[in-house]
Amino acid sequence: MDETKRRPRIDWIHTALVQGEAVRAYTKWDYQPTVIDGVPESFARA
Amino acid sequence: MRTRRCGRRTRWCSRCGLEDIFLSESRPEGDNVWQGRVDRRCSSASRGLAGGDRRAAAAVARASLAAHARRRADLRAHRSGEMRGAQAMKRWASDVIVDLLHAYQLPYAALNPGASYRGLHDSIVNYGGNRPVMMLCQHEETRSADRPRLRQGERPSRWSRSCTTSSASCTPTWRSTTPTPTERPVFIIGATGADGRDQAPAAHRLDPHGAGAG
Repeated sequence: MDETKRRPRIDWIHTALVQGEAVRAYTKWDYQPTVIDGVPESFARA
Repeated sequence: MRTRRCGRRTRWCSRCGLEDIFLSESRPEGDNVWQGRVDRRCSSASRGLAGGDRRAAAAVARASLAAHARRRADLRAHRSGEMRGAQAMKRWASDVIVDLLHAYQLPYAALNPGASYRGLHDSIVNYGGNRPVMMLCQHEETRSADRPRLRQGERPSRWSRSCTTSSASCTPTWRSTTPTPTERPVFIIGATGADGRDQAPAAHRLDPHGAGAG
């Protein structure tokens, strides 16, 4: 997350660093698009 | 994958014309009676889409993204006066995701409502006309346990919200999907919470966190 825009509290307790790691062991594929333009491709691959 | 049309044709969106979708026998009772008004219209390019064709889905994505780019605007949800009226013209990033959920014909969304993807929840209701059909789950384990009870003949793909911050919550999802991973794959979408800009719903913006899909 952009450190210059990160707010206190919620952005810390509700954010995981490399969050895909939580499901990577038992999903076929995971991805984290950062803008909406990357979502269609991730949908297609998923 | 076996689907059988129920024979009832209902126009669930006045513009997008995706009436063929969700008319399989897996539709829940009374699910075809929605006649509400869609404030933010579905993409016109999704008209006539039938089947899960990837090229058609790509066309939906292109048109949906273009519509989003033209109408991109900041939401100031905490200012209710500005929110009213203008909201009907806004085109959120989460609307694009809903277009994709429709394009890939994901009939159900087993979710436990969370703030991290509240924008997507809003788009499913107000833009997508309550499609995919949402199944409220009060816990991640409930969401997972619903899965085996679905009737035979249902479309094999489902959409489930993933827990993005706790591996413990994701574990039950894995356990329920492991026995038949190829019969009924689960499509998981997660969001990452607030994006730190203007208090806007993260799933509306998808920036800088975005949503993970797997």
